[in-house]
Amino acid sequence: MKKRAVKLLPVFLMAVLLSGCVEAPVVGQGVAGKKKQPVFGRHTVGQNFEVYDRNLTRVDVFLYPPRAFRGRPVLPKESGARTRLADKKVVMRLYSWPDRREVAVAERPVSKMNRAAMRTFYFDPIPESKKRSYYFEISAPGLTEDLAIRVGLRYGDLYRRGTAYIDSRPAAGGDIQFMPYIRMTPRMLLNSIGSRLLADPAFIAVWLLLVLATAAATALAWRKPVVQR
Amino acid sequence: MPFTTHSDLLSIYYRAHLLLERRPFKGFGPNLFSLLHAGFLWLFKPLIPYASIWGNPRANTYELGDWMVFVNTSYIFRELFLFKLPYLVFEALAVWMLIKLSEPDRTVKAVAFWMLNPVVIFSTYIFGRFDIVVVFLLLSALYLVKLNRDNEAMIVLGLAVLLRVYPIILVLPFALILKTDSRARWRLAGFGLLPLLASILAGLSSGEARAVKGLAGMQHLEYPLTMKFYLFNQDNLYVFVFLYSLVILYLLLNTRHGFSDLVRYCFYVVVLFFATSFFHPHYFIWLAPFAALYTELPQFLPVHRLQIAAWVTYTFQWGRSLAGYLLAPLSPAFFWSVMSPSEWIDRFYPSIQVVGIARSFFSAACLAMAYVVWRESKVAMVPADVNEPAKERVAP
Repeated sequence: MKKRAVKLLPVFLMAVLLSGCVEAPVVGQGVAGKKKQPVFGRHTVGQNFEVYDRNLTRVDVFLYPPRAFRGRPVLPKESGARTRLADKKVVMRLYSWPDRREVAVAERPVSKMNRAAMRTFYFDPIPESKKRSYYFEISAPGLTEDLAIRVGLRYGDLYRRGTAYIDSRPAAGGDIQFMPYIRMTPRMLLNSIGSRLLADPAFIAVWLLLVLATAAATALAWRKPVVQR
Repeated sequence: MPFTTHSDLLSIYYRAHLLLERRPFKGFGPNLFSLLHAGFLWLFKPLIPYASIWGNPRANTYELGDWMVFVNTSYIFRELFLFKLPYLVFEALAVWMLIKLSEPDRTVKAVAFWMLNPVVIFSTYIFGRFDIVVVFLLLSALYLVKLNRDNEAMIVLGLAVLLRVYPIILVLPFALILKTDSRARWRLAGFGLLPLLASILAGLSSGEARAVKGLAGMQHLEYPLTMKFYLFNQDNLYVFVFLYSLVILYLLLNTRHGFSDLVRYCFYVVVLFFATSFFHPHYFIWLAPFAALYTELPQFLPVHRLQIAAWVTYTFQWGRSLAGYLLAPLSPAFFWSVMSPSEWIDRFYPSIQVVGIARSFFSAACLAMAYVVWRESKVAMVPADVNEPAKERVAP
């Protein structure tokens, strides 16, 4: 057994732990939608989902830019769209589910959304998020239809623990591309690793015996020449 | 062993699973490997929750989503351990071969070099690839040469070629060094290519012409052609082919014979490959069996250490798939989100340039190792007394 590989693991883990917390994704849904659902004015798109651990702190959503960009990195100075988008924001509101109590709000400026990409919405970590359901809603109340951002919608129930909502109504088995994140602390990481190791105790016990036996055999073989001398 | 994996491990076992289920699968590849892994899978099928590993039961190829599900399963550690257990067996056999090949006073060092070599550990147990099987075959071929069983050695080398194709670059050096007679050389080369040719012919005759064409079109076959000089129009000079041809022509024009020459020229060819060709990080284990036989040469190990450091940096170009993702079984959510070394470097300096610099140094280190071996071979050939004939070392 390669003890050296195992020895490297604690070193790596320590390096990671010392580097601070890490935002770890909760398994969401990573497939882009084919239908681009516009978000503007009173029109919203939402998604409910489940969180398996504490410290929910971020939701990433795949958003398409307003058509005015047309693939350009910046809008021309003379373009009216640039002026109209200058102070407009995309808002992500997070609610507990199903009671719909608002727990967090995050915003992003629309003027910087010049390409289709996953957009991150940060909020303060929610310590009690473990094994709870949430619902987030994307809105852009200051936008008009011609400047709407769009959310990719895909039908086929790719994310089985939730569904997409259009204007607060379920989108019949559809899902949007999204990924929630928790802020994983070192303690949470160790708990996570520990619980995974203990999920198969029989194997871990056998493996530990093998490792100890190998270590003992190696130590004995190493000492033998000294004894002979 | 049970805590790390790359998705390639699942891909080979996925094909094995399709074989066990008697379902067709996409891709040609060495079917012998798939058969081998089907045998392994069949052996430890009762020990794992077999049905839950493979994702969509109607699919005939695995997808990234299947790997993410696989890594998240409760019995992942057991599955990884069992999937890699056959590789441990082959490694034990490789070490046994190494003991047979090295001189008695050098055995401990050679085995220690092998057991503690990060490249071997990474390729076999962290990445979880089957190249150790090919390495065992290479060592076996060398051992058969040492026993003066040249034909059998070429057949075994041919099996290595069948399994991984790249050992084909060793067929000509074997043939040219083991025999001096042209006819005998052709015969040996034929033996070395026979398994691969037989496999291709079998594929063609069973109606797999498209698959054979697919094999010829594999991107991997272009890797030795990646370093080139463009001359004009369709005129390119491929550096590895050029240098390899120089070695082969040198062997044609000069008689080199014996086990130590064979090991030496195989070593030259393999380091030239790594110095001039694109390669996946786990391929680097192919150098290890030859390098293990030179560990006592002065300055060889220090150069090799530098080479390994450069190789580690070279792996940064694969981003998270060769960083945090490898540890995903321990905590998928955490290790999937850990920044890769290249992403961290990009904060300060373009990582692509750092990788390029390391790769350049790696190539230089390869050539430096070849120089160390060549220099030692010259020292070995110098007679102790001018009245005495030059005596070649029996073993490297």
